[in-house]
Amino acid sequence: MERQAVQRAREAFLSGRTRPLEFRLQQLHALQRMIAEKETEIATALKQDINRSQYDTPLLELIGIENEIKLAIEKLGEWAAPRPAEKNLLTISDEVYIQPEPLGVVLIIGAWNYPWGLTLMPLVGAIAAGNAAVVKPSELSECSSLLLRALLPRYLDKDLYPVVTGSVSETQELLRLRFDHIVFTGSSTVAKLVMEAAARHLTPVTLELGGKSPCYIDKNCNIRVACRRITWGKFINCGQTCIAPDYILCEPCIQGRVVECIRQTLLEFYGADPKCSPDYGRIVNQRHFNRIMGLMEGYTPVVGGQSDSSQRYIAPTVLKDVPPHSRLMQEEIFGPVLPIVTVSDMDNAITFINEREKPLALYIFCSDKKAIKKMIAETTSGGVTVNDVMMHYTLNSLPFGGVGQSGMGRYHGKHTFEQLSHHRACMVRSLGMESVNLARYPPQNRQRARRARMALTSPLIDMSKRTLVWAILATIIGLGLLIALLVILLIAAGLNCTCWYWRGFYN
Amino acid sequence: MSRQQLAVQRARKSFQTGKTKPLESRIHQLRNLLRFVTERRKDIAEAVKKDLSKSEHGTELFETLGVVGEIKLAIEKLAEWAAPRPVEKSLLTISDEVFVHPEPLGVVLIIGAWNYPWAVTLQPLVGAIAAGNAAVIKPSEVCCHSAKVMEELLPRYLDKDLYPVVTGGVPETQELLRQRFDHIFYTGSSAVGKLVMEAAARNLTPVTLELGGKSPCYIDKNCDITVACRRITWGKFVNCGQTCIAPDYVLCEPSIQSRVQEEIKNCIKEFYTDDPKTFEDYGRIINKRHFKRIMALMEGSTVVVGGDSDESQCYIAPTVLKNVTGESKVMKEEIFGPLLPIITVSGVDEAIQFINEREKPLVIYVFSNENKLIKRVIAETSSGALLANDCLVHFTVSSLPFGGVGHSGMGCYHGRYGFDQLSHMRSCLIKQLKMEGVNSMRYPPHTAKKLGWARFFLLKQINLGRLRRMMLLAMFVGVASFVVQRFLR
Repeated sequence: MERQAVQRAREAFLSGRTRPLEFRLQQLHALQRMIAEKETEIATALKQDINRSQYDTPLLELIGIENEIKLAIEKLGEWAAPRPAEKNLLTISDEVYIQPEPLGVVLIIGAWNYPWGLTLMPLVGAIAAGNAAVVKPSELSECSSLLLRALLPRYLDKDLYPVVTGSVSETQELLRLRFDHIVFTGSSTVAKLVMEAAARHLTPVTLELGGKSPCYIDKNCNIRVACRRITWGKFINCGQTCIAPDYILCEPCIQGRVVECIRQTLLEFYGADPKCSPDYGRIVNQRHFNRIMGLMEGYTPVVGGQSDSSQRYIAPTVLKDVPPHSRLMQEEIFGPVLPIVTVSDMDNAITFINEREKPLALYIFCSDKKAIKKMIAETTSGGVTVNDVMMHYTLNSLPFGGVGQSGMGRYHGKHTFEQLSHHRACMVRSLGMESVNLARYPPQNRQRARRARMALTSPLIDMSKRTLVWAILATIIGLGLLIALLVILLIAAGLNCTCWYWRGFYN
Repeated sequence: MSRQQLAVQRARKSFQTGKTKPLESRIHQLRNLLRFVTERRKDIAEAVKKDLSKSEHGTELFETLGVVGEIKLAIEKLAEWAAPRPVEKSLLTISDEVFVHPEPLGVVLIIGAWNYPWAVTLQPLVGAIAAGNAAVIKPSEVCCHSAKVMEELLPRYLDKDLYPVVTGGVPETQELLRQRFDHIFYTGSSAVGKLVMEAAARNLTPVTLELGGKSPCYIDKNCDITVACRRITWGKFVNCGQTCIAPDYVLCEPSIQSRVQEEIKNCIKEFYTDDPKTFEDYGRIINKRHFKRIMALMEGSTVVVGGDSDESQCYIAPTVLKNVTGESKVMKEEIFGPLLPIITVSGVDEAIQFINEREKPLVIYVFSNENKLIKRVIAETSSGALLANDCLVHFTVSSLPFGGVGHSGMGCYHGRYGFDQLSHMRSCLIKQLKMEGVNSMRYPPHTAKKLGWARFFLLKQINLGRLRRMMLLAMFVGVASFVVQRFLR
């Protein structure tokens, strides 16, 4: 079944109908309509999957997708146009440019924590780039994946963009087939298997993985505001966000205050009993619930700690003085448990972060610009947000992706288009001016070699329109000034006597 | 601990000291590399002569010039490439600092190839050094003399901990691939490319694969066939056909086939004299195994030019084949040798179809005077690159990304692309802890009103460029009206 879907997608792609921009725009508009018209159904599916609140759905998923679609529709003409490249002396009369082209059939494997955002955002880029795409939503968010399978064919071309549902065996079957790019969002463990499968067909991959995103709070910043922002980011979607602040690093002297501020903020956000708050989510399934409860074992929480297995509910929990080598600090939590690890100062925090795998995001709360720049310079991570959490995800001019174990490749906005296109170098020469080429043909001698060397090492010339305009303007102004200078000199020379006369020299 | 493990460990320790971060240190290493290539010109040329029988001028033209160009460009542009890159802001982030910060990845593994042992090993190294990485260099063991020279001499110029040269054959390479790197840059065949990527997958290491394929060359019947054939002949028989972007086979209409044959025959004579075997500028096949492989490919096709060989010297004359079809032996794999098959097609439509039935090549060559035809080939085919009316030269334009697609590779390099490929582009958003009121729309408890505000802020797109231009215009109008009022009454 999977094989047929991929085969049909490839045949549909080879028919060439994704090439014209009008077609791609039409599909993007259709996707936009789907999001707008089916918002209620999507919200219901998400409530059943993960107890997402009615407002969180648009806030966290749909607005992001809308944004991407609007940007793609507006900019598609610009993105897909040939891009002139700088020429050198040898190629000055040639056409030299880079042509973005579709790759072919892209496989998009979605995740369960943001089933719509993480599946449809890559799809927007795939459509914009002119590819066909096989969409495989995660089976853990069952209602959403079934809804997607029902809805997408009603709005988009059903051959070009099939939805394939299923679990591990169906995914494995898909991965045996050949694609031109695979976009995978999920865990590092599964990502290794995806990349290995891709290697067999020499398929490039984009892997959006996770990791433990550290959150450093400097003692001299506004702790109240910092904690409010961290609390928001941590407990959204019940902590099941790839870029959620995983753990806090701070000095022991402010630990108590941090705990207090988080406690207060939790009260503000979810009330005294988060279980009753419509805005607080649940853990996606029993396995993850048990996993997270297991991580908390042996600790006494300073905030929260309550749970209800029947609802897969875990209260927003904060643990303090967590030892760096505990189990809690070995794997990505992906749940509403916030450990605080104390460090003696910022340098210590930097060492702590660098001893571990490169995270997907780094959060720094600090008012000192120099210290911020130092921390950015001495660490590495997929992305950084300073004095807030997760917001670098919302700006689609910033490339979103990981590094090292947190992933490879990036997307969002134009970057998805770039990632899912092939940038073909094109050079159109003419069959004339053959004499210029003589230097490169055998038999080679010193003279020819020297000429060839000169031609090949000539510097790149910026032939863009803006430079040309500046060059012309500068020449005109320069010439104008020169002429003005000459005129003044002439007048001065000619009026030498009159000048002195006027000054009263001849008085 | 094995030799390979030690080298990687030392490189990583050295990288972690942070000494590659300052731009001055990277430029210093790049200058040293430049000195290496210029001072050791003779050693390099000798090694290449022993490996591939390439003449000294040939080595300079095809290997070292490219490297020198890359180094000079990197030195000149490094500050620009490594600087934080500002990006467009949204209404929500209008008062924040938003930029992309290029950072080194860590330890890069560069696996070189044997056909241009210096160019395809040192050019990626330039990008690696410029991006601030450490790099383990593994030259191909097949070009043993060049590998030896690299192993002996490179450490005398570059930091020997940061940029170790590790030589060896298949088992040593496999041992290297078991180590953990932050990026692997591989140039070679697709078959080995798959193994490299599989090994990289175990550590989630990103890869750049510069592979090969059969690069087709279509000659339109209405173009200047003499010039076209001269350029094709040059491109094909350079390095005895052992170039990843050499025109692998020619597609043309039957009416011009004999003309094409004649012209190529004449060019071969012009370039390599009547007896290419004795001619200095004509190379040799790298080893007996490849010699036998290429000789076997001639089976089933008719030789119209050349065809003679000498196994003791690994010499194969520049050869042109006809009566070749898509099923011939010579069309089953990348030739990588001095055999040029000519396949007849009824026109550009059939040529496009022929090309599309096969794997995406590293480059497609089109020879035609008609711009429309060229644009059509571009639109209806796919390849790493497309070069019209010449061969190979797109490799020398450092503003063009050089790389493959599909089975011909992934990722690209040259110039700035080399730097970008071997850097991590880290998104940075620096906000402030004030203006907390703006954030209240995102905090629970959620209400419809808050959502409305969020929608407004997140979906409003600001074109800052246009705003700036409008402000400038307004200022100009203000000044102009002031001048008019004051002075021109």
